[in-house]
Amino acid sequence: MDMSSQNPALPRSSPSTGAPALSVEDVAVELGGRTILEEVSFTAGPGVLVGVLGPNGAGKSTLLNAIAGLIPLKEGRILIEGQPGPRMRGQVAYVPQQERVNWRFPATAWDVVMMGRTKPIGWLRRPGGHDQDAVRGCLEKVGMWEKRAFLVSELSGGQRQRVFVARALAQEASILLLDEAFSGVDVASQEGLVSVLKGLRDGGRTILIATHDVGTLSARFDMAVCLNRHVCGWGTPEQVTPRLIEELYSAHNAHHNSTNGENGHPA
Amino acid sequence: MDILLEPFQFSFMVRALIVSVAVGIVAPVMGSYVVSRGLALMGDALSHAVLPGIAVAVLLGLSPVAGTIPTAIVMAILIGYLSRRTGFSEDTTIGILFVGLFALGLAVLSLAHGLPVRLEDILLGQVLGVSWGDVASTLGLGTLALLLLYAFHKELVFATFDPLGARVAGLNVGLLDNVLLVILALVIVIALQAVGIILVLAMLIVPAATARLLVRRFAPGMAVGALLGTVVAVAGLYISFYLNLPSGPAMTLVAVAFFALAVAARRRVLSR
Repeated sequence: MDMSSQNPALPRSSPSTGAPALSVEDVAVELGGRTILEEVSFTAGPGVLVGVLGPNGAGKSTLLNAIAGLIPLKEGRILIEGQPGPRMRGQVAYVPQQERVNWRFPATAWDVVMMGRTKPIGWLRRPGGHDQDAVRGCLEKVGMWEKRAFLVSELSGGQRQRVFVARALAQEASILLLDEAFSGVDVASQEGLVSVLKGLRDGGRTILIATHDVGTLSARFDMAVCLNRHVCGWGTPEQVTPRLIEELYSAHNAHHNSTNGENGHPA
Repeated sequence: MDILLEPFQFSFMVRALIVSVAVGIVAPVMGSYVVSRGLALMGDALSHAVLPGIAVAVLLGLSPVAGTIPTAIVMAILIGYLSRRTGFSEDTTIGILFVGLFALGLAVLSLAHGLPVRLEDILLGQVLGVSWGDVASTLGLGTLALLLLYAFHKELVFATFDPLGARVAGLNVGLLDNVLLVILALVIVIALQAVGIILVLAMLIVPAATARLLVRRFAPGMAVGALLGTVVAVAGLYISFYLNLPSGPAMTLVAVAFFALAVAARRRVLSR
């Protein structure tokens, strides 16, 4: 992987504000009286594809939910382009785990991407030609224009993820959070999804993907966070992999004492 | 032709027709959300829970509508509050409020004597007995419900399909859920007159579910649901008139017959 042109290990500044795209500072999160995350800190510049890795129950989903503003922080703060998270709503787009989406709702790929335009369009207004063009452009960018009339419930796991990524693009978000993006996606489609995400990364977006799949780690991410309630490693995938395997191994030995935190409802 | 026109020489039938068509249009549009959000129990519970509101309104000499709207809104708010407060799942708190308020309404109606309404009409619907005042309130509330659904369409769609994604995108999903419950309450209130408390659910979900079997997309499904609902309401009204049946069961049987036909005609099975 060519990292010389944009080495993400050096926190880069966004041109507009001079602050890093995403800055997580000493974050602690408590859910139902249990500490899920503590002392989590890392910084990601624009144009970086970050893997959030760790054993089940490590708090990967919780971290993404915290960045998304879905759950309150007990301690610390999360800055998006230098601003506190809640004020930057809309800058962050979130692709939930598949089981958190209401598949009974009959939405086509086009409909889902148009949902991303909801906030830019504003209350009490209908989508205009500009929004139609934006939806088309986003669907083309992820290679799903041909499938626009399909219900998302009829698409494969990988195709669904692409549609959700297109929705994030339509939302004009600078930070994309994907929770378990690769589960239910076959290996060939995973590669396609990754190349779409790399294209967006090259366009300057910051992308965080939570996954428990560490198989082809180094080819996928620029940076990796090894998470197990705290940050057990942060760096290039090559730097993080040994530490991650250690954590996975010890978590396995601990017989998964507590795995509830992983999918804890943020509401 | 005479068979079709004859009933409408009576002005009570004209009033009944207006109310039935309004319910036939509005209920399935709202019902599309009830079906895709899994709110059937909520709809059934809200319709039963307004009984004490009706009872009190009638005792005070007011239109039943005056009592039902506040009761439905209070019920909708209480469900959310109790679920958060007790930690029970929503269907449990819905069930408790449902039976509690319904029983309260039955008790009030049983204890009060000489009321100008019959319990049977409230439970089963008697659209043939609506007044011009009822017609006006039905049209007003029905229009309000449709306007609200139209105004918040794209937000409600996003929040229904992916509430988490919608929150992150900056939508106030909690507020939207409450707006939807208020609209549901409005629709239930007008549907009560046509089909009665017990069968409100019929107009709310049966045409909408039938449309869902016939049409792939959501908004067109709403339109087809409204069309089906209108046919159901008018057909039910004729049956009610000629067979001297309460309007609720008449309309419900027509609606369920259409649903059965749609299931039989459908080649593709719902994928999820």
